[in-house]
Amino acid sequence: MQKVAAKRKVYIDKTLFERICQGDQDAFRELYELSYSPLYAFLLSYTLNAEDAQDLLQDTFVQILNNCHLYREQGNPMAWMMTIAKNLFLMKCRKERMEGINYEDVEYQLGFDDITNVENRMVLEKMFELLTLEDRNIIILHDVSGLKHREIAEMTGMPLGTVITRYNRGIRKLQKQFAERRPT
Amino acid sequence: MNKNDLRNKMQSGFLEAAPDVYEAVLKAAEKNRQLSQDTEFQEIDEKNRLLSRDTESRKTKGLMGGSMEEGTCKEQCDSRKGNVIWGNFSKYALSACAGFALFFICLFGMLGKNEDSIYVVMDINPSIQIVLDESCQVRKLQGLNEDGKNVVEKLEWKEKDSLFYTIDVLLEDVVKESYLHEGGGILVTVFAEDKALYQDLEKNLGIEIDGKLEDMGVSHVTTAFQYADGNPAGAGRTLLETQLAENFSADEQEVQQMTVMELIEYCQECIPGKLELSPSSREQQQNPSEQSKDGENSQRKELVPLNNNSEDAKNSAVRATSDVEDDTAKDEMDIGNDTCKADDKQQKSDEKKEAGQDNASQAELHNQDDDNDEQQDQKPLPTVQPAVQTQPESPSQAQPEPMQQEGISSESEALTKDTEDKKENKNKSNKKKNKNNKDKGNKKKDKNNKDKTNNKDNDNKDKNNKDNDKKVNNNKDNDNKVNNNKQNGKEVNNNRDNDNKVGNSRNSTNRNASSPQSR
Repeated sequence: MQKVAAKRKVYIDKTLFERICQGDQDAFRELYELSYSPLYAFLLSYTLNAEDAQDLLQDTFVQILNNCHLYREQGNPMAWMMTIAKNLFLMKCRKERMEGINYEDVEYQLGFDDITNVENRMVLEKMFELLTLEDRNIIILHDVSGLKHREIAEMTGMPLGTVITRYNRGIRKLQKQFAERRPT
Repeated sequence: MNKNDLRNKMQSGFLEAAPDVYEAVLKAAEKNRQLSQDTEFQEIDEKNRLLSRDTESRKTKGLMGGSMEEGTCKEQCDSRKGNVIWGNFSKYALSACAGFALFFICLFGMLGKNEDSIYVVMDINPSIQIVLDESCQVRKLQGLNEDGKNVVEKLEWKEKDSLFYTIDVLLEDVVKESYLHEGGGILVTVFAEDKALYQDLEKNLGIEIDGKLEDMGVSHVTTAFQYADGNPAGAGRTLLETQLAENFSADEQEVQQMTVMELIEYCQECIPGKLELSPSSREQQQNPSEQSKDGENSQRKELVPLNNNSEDAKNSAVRATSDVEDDTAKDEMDIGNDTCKADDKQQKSDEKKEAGQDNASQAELHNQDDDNDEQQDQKPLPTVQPAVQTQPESPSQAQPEPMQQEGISSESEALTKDTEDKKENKNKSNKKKNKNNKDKGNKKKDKNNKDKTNNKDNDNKDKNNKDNDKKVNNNKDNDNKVNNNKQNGKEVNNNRDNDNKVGNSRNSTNRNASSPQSR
């Protein structure tokens, strides 16, 4: 599968969902290509485990495929898909609590070893090392998924000002980290 | 590293790290469809079984009339409807319950205790109501009159802003729009169930309002607070107005037409202790009495020193008259604001006038007596005394002795009238004379001043001339001396020449005398 080049903003056409409901596989393929990377990043931020994130990613797309008729043209489609992903993660957490498994004790394996570009890997590692969950999620939603601050605020339930300050704070932390590490 | 660089690296990094699960998704989706289809078939089979059982039971009982087919169809339809209804009963029941629950929640929410339990009404001239929640965050802003509505429309505020921030913004807007200015008043009414909360708000709001007005440079603003419990009904000042009208028989219309400042003052007079003032307002009320005393003393200082020169007296008189004119102009401008202050000013102006007249009369006396500048300068001025000459004679002295006869009495009355008329005429003439003398005196003074200055100039010129003459004379003397010296020098030379000639002549005679003897 050809990997789509990284775009500055992820734009998903809302008519894709209608076509998917009608059984258009190409539309589903197009949707998948545009959104699997941001969804994976978002899920990895929650799970901190590459395998679990992969499972949840699969479940998310299955849900989207089955429930595409439920999509209402309100706001960004990516935000709708992100909420499905988050809900699936929360359901999984509840199941595991019921089963007596403490999700936080699981060692996290981010799976960045397979990344060939060293700088990209360093950036991702520092993101998970330095930033809190909320700051990281906001940066992923804004920079990787292409959501606006206002959309992020609506999705997360945080005030807009909080979203903006946390985003700036996270970016500054990363910039500071890489500014200190400049080669002499 | 820029934001764009970070963004690009993140995107490319996650793109590289994310696994490809497309095929797995498709497989999972197919499985789900199969499962869903299987479940549907199972449901249909169960339904059919149920239907078949029903029909068999009815056949055996023979209750159905008409054709069996119709009956069966009807039964099937009815059973289907029933199944549909009973099958969806749970959904309908849940939705009905949810609806009822919402209804009751709304009811209790309306009837129950309001979260918006605190109301703050600010009467400046626009009246604005601020609705707060329990944590003193602003929920709502409402204008209670036209000006208030205009202010609220233009105001930049948000829900959950703090009360103090909202009031700062409100005060800025109100001062810009010139609703509030120096000497104005602010009445803050707090509607709250808890009086302790009111007291806390009153302290903090008072400090906040005073500080903000000081920062904006608006002084002499009186801020008053009042407490009210119950639901706020209209503006805060209406409470005061109704109270004053009912309990203190104040005219409603007059009270309604009062400004906020006037209402506060009137309320303080009628109901002391009803209103609480902010710290700076309290200081203003205490200090004006001290300020007025200081003002009077300073004015007295200006008018007292008369011992130095007539010029100073004249200047002080001129100042007094100019001050009086200024005060009257100010009084005309300030009508309607501070009546007490206007009264004080009038009293002060009257005092100034009297003092000015006294100074002018004294100046006249001095100018009448003295002609020369030096004499005027040298003569010491007397202390403040009334002008005896200008005062009219006491009536007791002027009254003639009472006559015994009526005709004489009438004549005496006529005489007294005549004398009084004459006195009045005299007084008038004296006054005129005084005026003329004043003018003359002033003119003379001007002349004197001019002459003095001229004389001084002349003196200076003379001095300069003298100095020049002296210099010239000195130069002349020097020249004469030089000439004398020259002459002396010549004479000396002449004398020497003469001596030499004499010497030569003697020598020549001696030679002549010696030469004949040798033959």
